[in-house]
Amino acid sequence: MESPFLTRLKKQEEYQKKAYLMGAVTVWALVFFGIFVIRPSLITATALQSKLWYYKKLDKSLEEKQNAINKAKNDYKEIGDKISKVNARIPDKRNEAEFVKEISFIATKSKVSIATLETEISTKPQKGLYIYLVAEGEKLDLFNFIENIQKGERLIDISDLTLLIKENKESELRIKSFIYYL
Amino acid sequence: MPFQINLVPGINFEKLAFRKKLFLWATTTGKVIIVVTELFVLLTFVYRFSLDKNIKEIAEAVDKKANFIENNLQFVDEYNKIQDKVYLITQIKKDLYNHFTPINKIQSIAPVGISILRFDSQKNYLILYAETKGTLQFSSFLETLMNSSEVKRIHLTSADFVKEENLFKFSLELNY
Repeated sequence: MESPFLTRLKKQEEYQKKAYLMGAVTVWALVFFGIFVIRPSLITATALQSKLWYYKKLDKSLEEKQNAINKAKNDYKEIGDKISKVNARIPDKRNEAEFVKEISFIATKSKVSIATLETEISTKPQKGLYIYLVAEGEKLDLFNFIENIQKGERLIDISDLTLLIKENKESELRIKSFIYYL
Repeated sequence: MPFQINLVPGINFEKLAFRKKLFLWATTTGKVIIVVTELFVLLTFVYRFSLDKNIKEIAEAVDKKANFIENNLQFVDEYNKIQDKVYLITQIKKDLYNHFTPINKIQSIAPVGISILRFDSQKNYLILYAETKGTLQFSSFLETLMNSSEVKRIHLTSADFVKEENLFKFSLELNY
């Protein structure tokens, strides 16, 4: 007959073996399921979530842009009549012919004659044309001419102006200016 | 000692076959792990469906907005150009110099007897060439210019008296 101590020892040993085996199988199962089942599911879910965030961000920025376009359209409608003036001030192209026509018209209106009118394409980053103009006429008419070209449709930036006043003769006006296009 | 009857025979784990040991695990701890894993997979599956649905909806909205923006690209370009032009006009107007006003003002304040022969006007400064027969007119003209609030600096660049012609010729540089 076995002693009770030996019986207890055997039972404990058996219990330990059982626990180790159960533990090992459990760990294995957790690792197996973790790698082959949970990990792919998590990867898929994370990828989809990232995609959703990306789309949400994109949607937000597109929404802002759409709202800005709608607002711009409304503004554009409101200022519709002023747009033609803006385009006349700074046209899309050089339009030298139009400018010469306008200057000739102003000269006729101011009773002065244009002696020379030269244009030179700007080499600056700013698109534009240099205008060298010599006009002749009565002093007061030349004053009117200066005033009228500054009030003209096209934006003109006069950098240098020389006025030679001759009494009882036609005075001379020399202008170096710059006109813009964009 | 109370009397006990154990109808279930005691299982000796060590003596069980591996298959039975595995079965024993599967019905105890394994059961819990498998059920939890299945639950997790199922939840992920459902979550994935919900995500797919959301993504599909938002992708449609994004497509619509992108189409709207694409259809309005021409308008956007035009609008941007107008904005650039307005900005440029504002900037130019800040630096734009009105040559007419100072010339006109000097002409009007020049006393009788002063003949202005020439104006050279550049941004913020003006050189005038004139002649007079008397020095009084010159001093009077100079005084008027000195009293003008717009003129910041007067520089007498040249002064020449020609006795034969009895003319005092001078040039002044005026800074605004």
